[in-house]
Amino acid sequence: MEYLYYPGCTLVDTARNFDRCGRAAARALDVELVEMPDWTCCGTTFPLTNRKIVGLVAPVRTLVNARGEGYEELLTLCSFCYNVLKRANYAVRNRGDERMRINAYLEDEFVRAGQEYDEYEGEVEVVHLLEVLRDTVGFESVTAQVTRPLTNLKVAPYYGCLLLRPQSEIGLDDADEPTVLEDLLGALGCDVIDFPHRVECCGSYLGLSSPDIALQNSYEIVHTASRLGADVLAVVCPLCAYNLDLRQEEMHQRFSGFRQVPVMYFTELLALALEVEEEVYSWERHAVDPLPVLQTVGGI
Amino acid sequence: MRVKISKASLQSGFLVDVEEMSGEHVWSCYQCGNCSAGCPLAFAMELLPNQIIRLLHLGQEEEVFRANTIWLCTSCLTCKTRCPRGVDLSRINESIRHLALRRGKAPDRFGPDQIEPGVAASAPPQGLASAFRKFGG
Repeated sequence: MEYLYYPGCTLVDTARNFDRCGRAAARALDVELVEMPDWTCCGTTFPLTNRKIVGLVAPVRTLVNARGEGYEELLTLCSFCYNVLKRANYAVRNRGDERMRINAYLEDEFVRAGQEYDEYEGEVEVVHLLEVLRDTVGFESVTAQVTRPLTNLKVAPYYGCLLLRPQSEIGLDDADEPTVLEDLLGALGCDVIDFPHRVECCGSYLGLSSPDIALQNSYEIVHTASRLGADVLAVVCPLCAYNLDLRQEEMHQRFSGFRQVPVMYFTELLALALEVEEEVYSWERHAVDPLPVLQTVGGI
Repeated sequence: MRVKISKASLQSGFLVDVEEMSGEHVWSCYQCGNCSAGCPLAFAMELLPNQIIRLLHLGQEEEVFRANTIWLCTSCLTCKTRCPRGVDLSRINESIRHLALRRGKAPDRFGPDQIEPGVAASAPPQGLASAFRKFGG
């Protein structure tokens, strides 16, 4: 099967390992991710006030261009892209006033560029690789294709916020009691930890604007995973990876008794379990090197 | 904390502005405190999320603008998920941020010139873009 794929800015920059492992692992499962040509910014954050219609321009333009590629679905990996594209699509589908205003804006843009424009009504479905693995490929089928089960690897699953909330608009899983990540990791053979901080915010962009406050917040998450004996903390979003992985050296300096825990994207674990041999891993992108624990516990 | 409640503050248009921008019914809140109990950033907030709502009820514009609370909300929606009254506090906080920016009540919180070079080199682009969106309106 084939999906139109939207990587987004971070997956072609600091999170290239997230992207490359995702593409390679999907291919190993017979899911081809075709990169959307000339993609532009998703908008990053969904506008939360009624007057900020301009905040919908970037995500809806992306959806209109996806429709133009002739695909019914647009697949993402980054939680930010997924959240803003899905919420913008929901707004177009369910709020007539916003649909009218955003279409008027984009029609003007397309016509000025000499292109035809048909009103966008939310025809494209925004999907995440996790739901394709669960609903289309099926986790049983994933297990059947795993050639290197990650047995004995204790993994703390971490969802963060944007993949799940708001539940009424995203609907990937239950916002407070999700299971999709646990189920996938279980399908890979991992020993999945019941992780209490799994749906809490990592500190998001406060890691850049209020780094001290964000550090205390992200420390609680990593420290809990550490205390529970996690070998790896599995994440879905590059900003979570920044707050939870790249800042562990600061946590180590600031909080006594802190034991570091490697942070990995779920696509990296998936690629390892499927024995994807391509040059997709780029371990040097990790602040806390996962290789020692993968070698001793995961047998890699 | 002491606040002065006057006829003028109760009749100020601040609550109306916030409700119009956010589309939320601020008076739906009955102050159960679920939002503050679950907020992952509450430990660093000068006023708790439910206190912001109560001060809106009382027209305390300056108190709301003065606290760091609205600038620490990351719109993670834990509060919205758990609110028994269906209030989306992320929309209320974003509306207050925009009003603060428009009225010159936003201290110079975050901009490209305030990022340390080391952070700029290692931070994911989505983090920079989202921070500028949130802090610049």
